[in-house]
Amino acid sequence: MRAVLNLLRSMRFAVAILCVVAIAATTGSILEQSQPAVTYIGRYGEFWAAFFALCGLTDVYHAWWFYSLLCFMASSTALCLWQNTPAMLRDMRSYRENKSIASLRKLDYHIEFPLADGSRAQAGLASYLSSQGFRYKHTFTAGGSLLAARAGATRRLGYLLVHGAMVLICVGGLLDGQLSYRASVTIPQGATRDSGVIQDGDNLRQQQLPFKLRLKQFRIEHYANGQPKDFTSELEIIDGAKVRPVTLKVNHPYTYRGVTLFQSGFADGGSQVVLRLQGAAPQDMAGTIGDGTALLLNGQPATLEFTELRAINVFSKQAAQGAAWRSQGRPGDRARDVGPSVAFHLRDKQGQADDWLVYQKAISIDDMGYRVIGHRGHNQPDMRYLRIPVDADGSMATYLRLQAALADPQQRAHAAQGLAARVGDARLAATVSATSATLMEGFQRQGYRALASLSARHGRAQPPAAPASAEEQAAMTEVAQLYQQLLQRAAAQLVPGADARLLHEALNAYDDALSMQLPALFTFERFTQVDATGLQATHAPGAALVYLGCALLALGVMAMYFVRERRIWLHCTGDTLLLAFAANRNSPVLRTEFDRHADAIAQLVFTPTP
Amino acid sequence: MLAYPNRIPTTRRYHPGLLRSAVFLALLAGATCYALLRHSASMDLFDSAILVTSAIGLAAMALAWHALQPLSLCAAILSLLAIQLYGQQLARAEQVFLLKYFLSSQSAIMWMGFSYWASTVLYALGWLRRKAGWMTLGTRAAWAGSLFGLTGLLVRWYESYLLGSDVGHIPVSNLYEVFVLFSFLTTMLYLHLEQQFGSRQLGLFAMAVVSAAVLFMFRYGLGAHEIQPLIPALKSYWIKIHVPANFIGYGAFSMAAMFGAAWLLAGRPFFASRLPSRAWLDELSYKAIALGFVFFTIATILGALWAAEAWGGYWSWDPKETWALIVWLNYAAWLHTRLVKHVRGALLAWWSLVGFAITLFAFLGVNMFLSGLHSYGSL
Repeated sequence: MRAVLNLLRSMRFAVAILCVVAIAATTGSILEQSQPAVTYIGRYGEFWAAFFALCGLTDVYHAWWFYSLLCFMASSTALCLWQNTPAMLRDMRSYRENKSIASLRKLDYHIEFPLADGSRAQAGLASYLSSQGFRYKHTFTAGGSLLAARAGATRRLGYLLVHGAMVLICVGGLLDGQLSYRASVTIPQGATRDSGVIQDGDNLRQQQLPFKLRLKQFRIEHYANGQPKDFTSELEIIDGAKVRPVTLKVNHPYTYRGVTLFQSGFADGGSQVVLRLQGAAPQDMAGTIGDGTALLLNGQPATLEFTELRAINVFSKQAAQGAAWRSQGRPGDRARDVGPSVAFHLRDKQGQADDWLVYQKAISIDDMGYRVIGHRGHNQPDMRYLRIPVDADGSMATYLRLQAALADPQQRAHAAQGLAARVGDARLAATVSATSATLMEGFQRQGYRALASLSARHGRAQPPAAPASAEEQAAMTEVAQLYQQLLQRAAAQLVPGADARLLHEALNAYDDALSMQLPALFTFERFTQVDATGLQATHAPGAALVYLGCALLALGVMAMYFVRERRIWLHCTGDTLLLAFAANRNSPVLRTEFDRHADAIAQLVFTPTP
Repeated sequence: MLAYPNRIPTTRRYHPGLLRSAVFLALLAGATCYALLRHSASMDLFDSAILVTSAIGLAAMALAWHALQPLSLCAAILSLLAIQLYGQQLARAEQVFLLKYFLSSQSAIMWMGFSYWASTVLYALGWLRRKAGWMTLGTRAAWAGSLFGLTGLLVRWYESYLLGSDVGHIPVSNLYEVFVLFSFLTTMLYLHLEQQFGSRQLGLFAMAVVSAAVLFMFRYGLGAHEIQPLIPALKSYWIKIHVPANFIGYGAFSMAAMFGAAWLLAGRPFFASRLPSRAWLDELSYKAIALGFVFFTIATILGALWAAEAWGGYWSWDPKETWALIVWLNYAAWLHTRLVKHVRGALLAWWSLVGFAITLFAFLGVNMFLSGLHSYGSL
């Protein structure tokens, strides 16, 4: 038992426990914590996921073994404190006047002076010690008299404070580990809530609050570049009959009945959005964020599930080319707002859902405006973005006209004739007409892939040669380019009067839409935003202990660093004066200080007094 | 028994700096009062309290270390000059000669970097050839760099307000700015130590860390020197005390590591003839770690208090917090190890190097490899 106690309070043990806690804390920052179980299985496989869960590695900081480590650290610190405090306090008050001359002579820093008249020097020495900040005690020993002095006893107090503070912080923290909660409370404008939600890995728990909260108003302030600057919630705390108005901002929490409310963010409170399903007969569909809207898509029933509305999307721009190192950046140079967006799922009757992200306004890319539509099929890993060029007025008219015209055989035939009419030679005109009709028809179904397969077929019409030589390859590319030009001209016939670059981009977009297998084309028309505030409600009964511990810890470390404990003994025996000097910690600095004291005392002793 | 010279020192201590200090204190008090009266409308209680506390802190430090007086005075003059030259227009940074090449924050910080590099080279030359003259020049270059660094930070603070009164904030909010702060604080810590210790033999070691930081800053800073508005969670007076306190800790820990390296090298004759004794190196690394520990403890506590205000809990086991705890536990263990009997200095020296690696990870690695609430400092 005694041996165990001795081990627990030994310095080696303190070092070991500090290192072990540090290593334990490391594990939690390496493995991502508190993720749903699926994440671990997906990343590490079934076996390791089960292993992690068993060892509590998925939530290290709330695992039983981490708690017991902290308990262990706290109790061994407390034990040290318990064992050492009485001796420390005694030592703080003691002048160590019982030290023998022999033991003083064994100290590293000591010196003996011959003394002319010991009794006269005594008073001067005492006042010198006081002037240096030492407190002293005068005693008589067998051989003479002793002045025992000390300075910097506060250092020991620092030790007590630091270690006491660690115990307090650990106790407070462990208490909070068991009793505290942090719940998210989302309140739409005008609504009232009396509970929050705690996410704990896979589980969602409801946390009842001891009062009700009503959101009167929620505001988001923005910087000039659209970055959010502050969130403000005007709330009412309804506690029975009492109603208390409260304004919450980020960094300005409010505590009521042991629950502290924080402004943490914002959420959607059921905004209204209107999408338009583009097609032969455009159709508007209204919906609410968080809700679903049923629709018929290509004759099949489907559901639109609106997930997120963003009124502001701040994108960081690419670093401007050639920006000088010295150039001054303005906020907004690196970021810009591209306007509102809505995200939704399109779920078919089999229950499979595609993710969509549709921007409301045209986004300028390389001096050209585009409507951007993101789509991720249920079997695709990443979201792909369709960029549809817009006309000068911001509408997609050109693209939609092109799409409609491509789909109409009559218009295709008309365009083919239009192209042929420009060619003088009759045989060539017939070829142009036939080829462009084939091209348009192929492009309508397959996009640019059709051009590639057509040019490949054209190549093979020649007598077959086993491997395609470089020349043939070049010829094929040339043919493909010819087809491309022809398609471009045909498109100009389909949509007369359209800008060439716009048309080119429209063709690209059409091809992209085909390769993305977009089942439909949605545009984002209008929205009415209803904000909800995102609050956090926390209850931490141990916080007071932790804060007290922190204050003591800060005071303690300062005392331990800035205060040095030093002792001086001045022992007069008849004709010699023994000066001995010691400090709590040996350091080369002590030599300097000892020399200084020795100098001054020598001066005092040798100065003839009148 | 020690022999003692039978000499009676009679000289009285003379204080040539007394008048100078009085003038400095008067100026500081005047400036503080002027700022309090003139700008009372735009400062809340915390801002005023921080201003007064900083003034008192600067006064105390400048009395203990007189060299701070000319430094802060020159930095104040240069910053005021820059403010005059700007005349409320940021565009003048490109037009006015003095601003363009010296006083705009970008230029001043560039000069800081060059001065620190020059200082390192001069220290290295003096150290290799054991010439005090070169090393004195190294010290001067380090002081010049610190003046430019401090001016750069102060001017940058002003520049941020020129971008919009709601954008303005203390320049310690992104990695580029904290690297400037780190370089400045580490150099100041070293210069203080040099003045206390009275030897320049460690200048090369301390300034090598600073030079590396400057190199990293220049490489990284090319894309990140623009002043950005603060995210809501950072808009707090806590940023003014939490971040600098943390960087005093980081700076002290990195110096301790360099002294540990010097301790290890001091075993070879080539180095032994150019370094202080191992006893001193041991003492200096202890001093550095203890000082770092004090400030790191306070910074972590301040961080916990801030977290309680901004994120709703004093401790969330966010990666940055966790690593702060790991750094803290590591140095606590180091400090306890010194008290274990029969521990060899080599262990402590190696450990201070390992501690630096841990500190570096907490400072940079967390932002590079782990994600969390502190993600605004990301690379």
